[in-house]
Amino acid sequence: MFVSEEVTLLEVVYGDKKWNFDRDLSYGELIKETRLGRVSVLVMVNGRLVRKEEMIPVKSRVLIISAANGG
Amino acid sequence: MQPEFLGGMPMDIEREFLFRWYERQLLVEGVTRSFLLRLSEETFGGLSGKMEEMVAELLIRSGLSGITRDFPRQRILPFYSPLIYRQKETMEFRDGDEIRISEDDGKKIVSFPHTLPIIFSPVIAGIVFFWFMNEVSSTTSVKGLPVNPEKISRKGRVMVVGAGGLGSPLIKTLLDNGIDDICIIEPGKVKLNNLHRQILYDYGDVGLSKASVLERKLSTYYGGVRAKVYEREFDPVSIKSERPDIVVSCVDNFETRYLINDACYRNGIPFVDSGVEGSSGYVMLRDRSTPCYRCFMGDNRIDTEASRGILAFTTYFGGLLEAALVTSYLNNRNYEGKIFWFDLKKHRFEEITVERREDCPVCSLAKR
Repeated sequence: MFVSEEVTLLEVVYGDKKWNFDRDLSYGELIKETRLGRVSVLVMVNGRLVRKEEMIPVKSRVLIISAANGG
Repeated sequence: MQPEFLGGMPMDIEREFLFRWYERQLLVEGVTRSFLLRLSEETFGGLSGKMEEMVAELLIRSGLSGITRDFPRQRILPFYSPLIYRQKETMEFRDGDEIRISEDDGKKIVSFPHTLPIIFSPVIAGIVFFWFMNEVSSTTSVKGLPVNPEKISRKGRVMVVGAGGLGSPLIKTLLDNGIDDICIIEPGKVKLNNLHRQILYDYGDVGLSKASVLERKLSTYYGGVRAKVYEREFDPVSIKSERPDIVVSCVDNFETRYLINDACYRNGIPFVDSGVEGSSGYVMLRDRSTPCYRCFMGDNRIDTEASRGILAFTTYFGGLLEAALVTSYLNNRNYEGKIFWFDLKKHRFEEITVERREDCPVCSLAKR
């Protein structure tokens, strides 16, 4: 499962892609750094959905998922 | 080796037909025409038990086209596709402690614990599919799932909005598990590129309205069920006129999800929703005690015209999970309000906590 071992960096996963950051990021900085600005996504930090105004602290596990609307 | 399909069409026409059939699957990253052609050469033989049959059906719906004379086609895929062909067996199922794919004398052996419940069938199909794509390892441990469809002890009236990729397995599972009062709203017609994932429809249904096909099949196979099928778009008024105990959203756009969410919250009706794309998706049960769909998705998502890629086992899994949440609700099981998210390619399953938005125009104002 995604949340288990202790992390020292800000670890980000989106599908097959992974990133590590050594500092806190704002939601906007995260989207810019991962170049996901044109993709419709949702951001989870340690299993909790975060809003666009939130800061994402280092030592967090971030899972970015598609805002899926298919059926 | 080139597959010889039973449809009797020239090979180049059959290939184009195959690509049109799997049009939505070909939009998924990594699924190419050459991959589909390679997959179409794989062949199943005899099957043992419901779990093997379900995994085989999902893999055939994902592009495997071969069956041997021992394959129980009339039971599993009676009218599904003219693309099925007969050939020497290349794949075999076996019982095992974990999900494992190996090769033995040129044959692929797919092992899995046969005691697993049927909800794992799309998980296994996904692992095999991505193994063929060289995207996953040959051995995968089995992880538990938070919900599982069960027999329904308390009867209730279920409204299903959308009878496509999610709605098909949901409707079938609910009826098989004891739901006997169902109302289905579906405005669309059956298209060729629906068939790989929309399991309630067959090749002969292409061009017909889904509502008419459903009416015919429900009366044929579920004669004792009280069923209403409406060929129209969802209208919030129908929540009041039909008075369902629970609503299930199986639609393919944000706009209708917002309508269902808002109508259900305002009328105090719980609803289950799922959204899928590629190999991943989410499922959730919402009622006035939980943050609503808008708190999860935001309330400014806009639908685009472009089709997105989707795999048969992904929608099947989403539909089964929705059915599990419906039965869980009707059987009065506790639900913490978390959202369940999955990725069948990465074999990743997560529970997501969502908080109520103080400025939510729907659930922050609804009576709790």
